[in-house]
Amino acid sequence: MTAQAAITPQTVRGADLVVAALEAQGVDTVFGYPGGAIMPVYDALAHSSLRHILTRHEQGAAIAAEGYARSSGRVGVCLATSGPGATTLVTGLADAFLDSVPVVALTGQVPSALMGTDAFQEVDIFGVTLPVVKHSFVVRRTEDVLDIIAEAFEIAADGRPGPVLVDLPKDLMAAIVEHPPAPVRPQPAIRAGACSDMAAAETLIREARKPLLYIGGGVQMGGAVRAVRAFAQRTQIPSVATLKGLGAIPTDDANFLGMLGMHGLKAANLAVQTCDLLINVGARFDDRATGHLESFAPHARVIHMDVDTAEISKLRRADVGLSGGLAANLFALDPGPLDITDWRAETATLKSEHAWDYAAPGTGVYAPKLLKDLSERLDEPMVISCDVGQHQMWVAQHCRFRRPQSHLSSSGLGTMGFGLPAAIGAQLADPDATVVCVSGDGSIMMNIQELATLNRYQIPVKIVLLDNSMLGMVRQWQDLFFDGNRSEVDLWDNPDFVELARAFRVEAFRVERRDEVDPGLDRLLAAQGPALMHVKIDPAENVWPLVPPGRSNAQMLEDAL
Amino acid sequence: MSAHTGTIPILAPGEAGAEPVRLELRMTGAEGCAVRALGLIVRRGWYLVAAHLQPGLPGETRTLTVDVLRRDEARAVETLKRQLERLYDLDAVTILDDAAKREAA
Repeated sequence: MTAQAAITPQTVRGADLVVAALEAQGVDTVFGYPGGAIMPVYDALAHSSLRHILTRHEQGAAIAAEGYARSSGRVGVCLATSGPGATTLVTGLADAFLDSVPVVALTGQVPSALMGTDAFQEVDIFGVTLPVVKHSFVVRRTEDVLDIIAEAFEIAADGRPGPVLVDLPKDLMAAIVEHPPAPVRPQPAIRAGACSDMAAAETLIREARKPLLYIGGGVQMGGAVRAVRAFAQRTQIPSVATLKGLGAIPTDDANFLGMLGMHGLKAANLAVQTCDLLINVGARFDDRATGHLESFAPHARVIHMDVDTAEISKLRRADVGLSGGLAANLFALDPGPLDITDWRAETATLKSEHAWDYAAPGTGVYAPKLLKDLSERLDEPMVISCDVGQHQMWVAQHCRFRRPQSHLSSSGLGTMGFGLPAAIGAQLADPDATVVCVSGDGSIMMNIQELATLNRYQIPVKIVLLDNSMLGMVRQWQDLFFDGNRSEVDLWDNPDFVELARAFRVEAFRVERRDEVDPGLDRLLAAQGPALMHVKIDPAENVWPLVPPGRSNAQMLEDAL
Repeated sequence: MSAHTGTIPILAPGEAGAEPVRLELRMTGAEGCAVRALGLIVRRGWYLVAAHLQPGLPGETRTLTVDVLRRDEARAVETLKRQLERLYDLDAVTILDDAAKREAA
């Protein structure tokens, strides 16, 4: 589409306002895919300062925007046309919603007069996305574009972050209007909670003999990493983390016990079951973390700190709720000297008694050891973006993280196909970082087309593809809980991933034996551009420990039944 | 029963222990705000028993009154209120518990 002739210095198209609004927000990168209804915006984009990354599927755009946001802390932006373009964004938006990631999605829409008529490529994306967005808008007047997009960014980042959708009817994007003044919006303030009780929290902590910090993703999203580390250092209270909370306390911290939950480390789960005070910092008692909720931390009183008041006492009644900003609350929380020497010794013993043994028999590649070694090789800034399945849990259990932005994982939605596009977003947000995507042979195929994006922009993401020719986690569950009835989990007919990557012009090579791992990692990390290391692993390998569904976290399986 | 002890039986409408709660939602009148609120109520585990939207034009502040019934004993109306308060188009959420009970009786 060409720019319309009637534009004067005092007038502008709606699409130009969209671009101006993004530039006003400081956006430097947008991820998207063009199509009919969004064409006016793409026309304006071509003349802008914005860097557009053409993914090869809209789901890749949405997840890349998430990866950008998760690693940078800035709002990620994705763009798609109406109908199928918009609907394929939905998984990424749902992923961002469940993990509280600030994303603004801009979708083309059919012209206003055709909305509601089942027009070509029309879908009510406002209605479709209602359950998975923090907020959404349909632009009804071109003059409102600047204000709506500014508000969308504000809402996406305010308080508990999340995705916001802005639907852009095509006629309004092509329409020419007087250039409206830039909107003036107040800075968002973190709203004070109604159930804050600092003194009561300090009393509970002083009275506790076995306090434990339970750290969630809210710590990173709320900019409270420094605050939680200072609190943990000041009080010497041991800590555990959710999948999304990993890295908030460095993995190697002496008082850090690891991830809790279904595939949590044994020391972490046992500490939770033993503690007498659980200090929840930005976590939400997710079922993957708690197991059987009624038997979770059965001896503990609970302090629940969250910027989102609705999370407090949603699933587990809090004895004290501290709403509002996590950092401010953590810095203000001062219980004074604590009598927890015995508890610290007890948790240290748990940690040493249940430390992982990486000495696996045989000559095959042992994935936990490979992942541990990989993370220890990576200097900061580094990012490990993973997909979903067994490898995701091995990354969480065995990689060393020194900051939460280093660990990108689809924690709430569990989106297979997350890893590669999220890594793309992270690498573009931080070109100096070493970004590694750890994937599986099931997950990688969900967004394999994004290898083309790696090649197109020469994005130097390194891929470690752990291939057991199996949907490993499903296979493990079928073996354990469905009498070994393996139903549709055998991926014997996978493509040759090395040849496939090369077809996308991505360097690739194969590792099949344990003694090939070190040279393989050397080669992978030394590659100048994108590269893929295809690793054959044992299809019978399981993720341990495992808390069976509906059971207490105290009932961890550690070996085959 | 508290949210973290015991089992969570499903409640059927009209069953003993299942009493409707009336909520008053003051909303901005922005596009979709009523649908957004009603959808949240259902998704968060509540039956929608009755609803009345005060007449008004788009953009006008108005009130949506709903009677809701929890689907199981784990659902707390205070949590639902907070979840509704997160919606950007809602100015205020008030629990009118007594009125609902009176009407149910």
